[in-house]
Amino acid sequence: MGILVGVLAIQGDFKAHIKVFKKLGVAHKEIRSENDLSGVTHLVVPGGESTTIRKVAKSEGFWNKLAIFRGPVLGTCMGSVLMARQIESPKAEGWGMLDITAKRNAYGRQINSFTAEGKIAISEKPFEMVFIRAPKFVRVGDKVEPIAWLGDEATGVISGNKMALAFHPELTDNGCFHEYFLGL
Amino acid sequence: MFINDKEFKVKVGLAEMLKGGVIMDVTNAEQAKIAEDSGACAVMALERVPADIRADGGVARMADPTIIEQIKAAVSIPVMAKTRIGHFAEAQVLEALEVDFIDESEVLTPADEHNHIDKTKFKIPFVCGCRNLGEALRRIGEGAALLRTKGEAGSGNIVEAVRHMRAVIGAIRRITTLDDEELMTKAKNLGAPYDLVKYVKAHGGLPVPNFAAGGIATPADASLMMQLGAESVFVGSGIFKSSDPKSRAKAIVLATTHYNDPKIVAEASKSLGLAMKGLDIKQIPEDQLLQTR
Repeated sequence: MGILVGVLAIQGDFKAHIKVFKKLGVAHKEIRSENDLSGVTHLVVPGGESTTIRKVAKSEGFWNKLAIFRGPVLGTCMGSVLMARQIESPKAEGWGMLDITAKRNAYGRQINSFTAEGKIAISEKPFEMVFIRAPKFVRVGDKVEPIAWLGDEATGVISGNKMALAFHPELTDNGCFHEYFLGL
Repeated sequence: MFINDKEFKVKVGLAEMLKGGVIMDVTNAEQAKIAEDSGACAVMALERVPADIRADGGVARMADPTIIEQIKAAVSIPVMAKTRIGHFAEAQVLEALEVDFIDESEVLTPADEHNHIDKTKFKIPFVCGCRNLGEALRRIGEGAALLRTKGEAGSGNIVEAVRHMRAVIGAIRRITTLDDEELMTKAKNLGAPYDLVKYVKAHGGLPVPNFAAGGIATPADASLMMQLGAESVFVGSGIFKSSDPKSRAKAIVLATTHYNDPKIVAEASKSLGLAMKGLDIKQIPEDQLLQTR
């Protein structure tokens, strides 16, 4: 069966992810409700506002279906927050796909948003990480492996086929994380 | 050109995160909480909603910093605030208050009738209104990281937002059909920076997102603007000037996500009570139009 990437398109920078998959020549679709999930092998949860996703997905009973998605999942920024077991500031319920605690807006407000080069496990070369009101993974469980770092801090983690990144690879021209995700 | 700089990328990055959502005007912490609970992806802090500014008259200024602080404390979503056109000192204050986005807005009384703020001097991203492509590209040239239609704020009437969105999108489409030799004359006629006209031709779009604003009052209005090419919607008076702000806010959020699904927009449009009354644009005296500022 071929790959069909579903990009959650309730709200956020889903178009930026779609642009990457277009460039990689991979089949993809936008996901706005439960029915859209049929046939999807890989799920992407973009950056955006988690409170919006929670509101819209919950009012449609779609939230739980996302939480139990079995295939590979890539979450960036807000996506990584929703994938977490625990969410802080404010405390909220996540999907528990990864045994991590994600703290929202941990670097501060937009004035503290930045880009920086960090280390990644999937390439020798440094990676340009774009942090927009980004979260931090303030607790990383034993079975969760860091795959990206800014200094000593893990900014990307993986556990099985679930990958959570606090930054936005979709806002750069480097598609290596998206390619890696397709191989999960 | 600065549009390739890292700092600009970080500014446009936040605009990217706001796509597919609804940004709601709020005048206090309680309204901000209602907006967040209804699924708004950001709130715009201001002293009076545009419909009240229109009704009350007088000089409309940046909101009181106390109110902005209270709104910031009440919600976890991004908080925007409006500065008067050309009033870079108000913008400096908003930056000092660490709002997430500054709207250099025609809704407030302009401080400078000839010049806009040099937005490249700020670390906080700016959004500006536009009625056509020339205006859009001039604002980007000054450093705006996000555009919105001006529409006619506080009117509850979508007609001007539609006019402005069609003008911008149509002009982009026409530029993509031009020869390279025709671009300088086009830039001259638009009154737009040449480099940005070249960018539009090369990419078939703007280097920053383009949202809708100015007159959105119903879920179907939001769907209309999204289908016309808006990437998000600002709702000003439309929510808190309606009879049931909570239900209307939720409905407009749903209709924005599902703008292409008429069944969901229909469902969202049920039992919302009265929309804001609204104004016929032709009945507004020309000197009271906000969009010409």
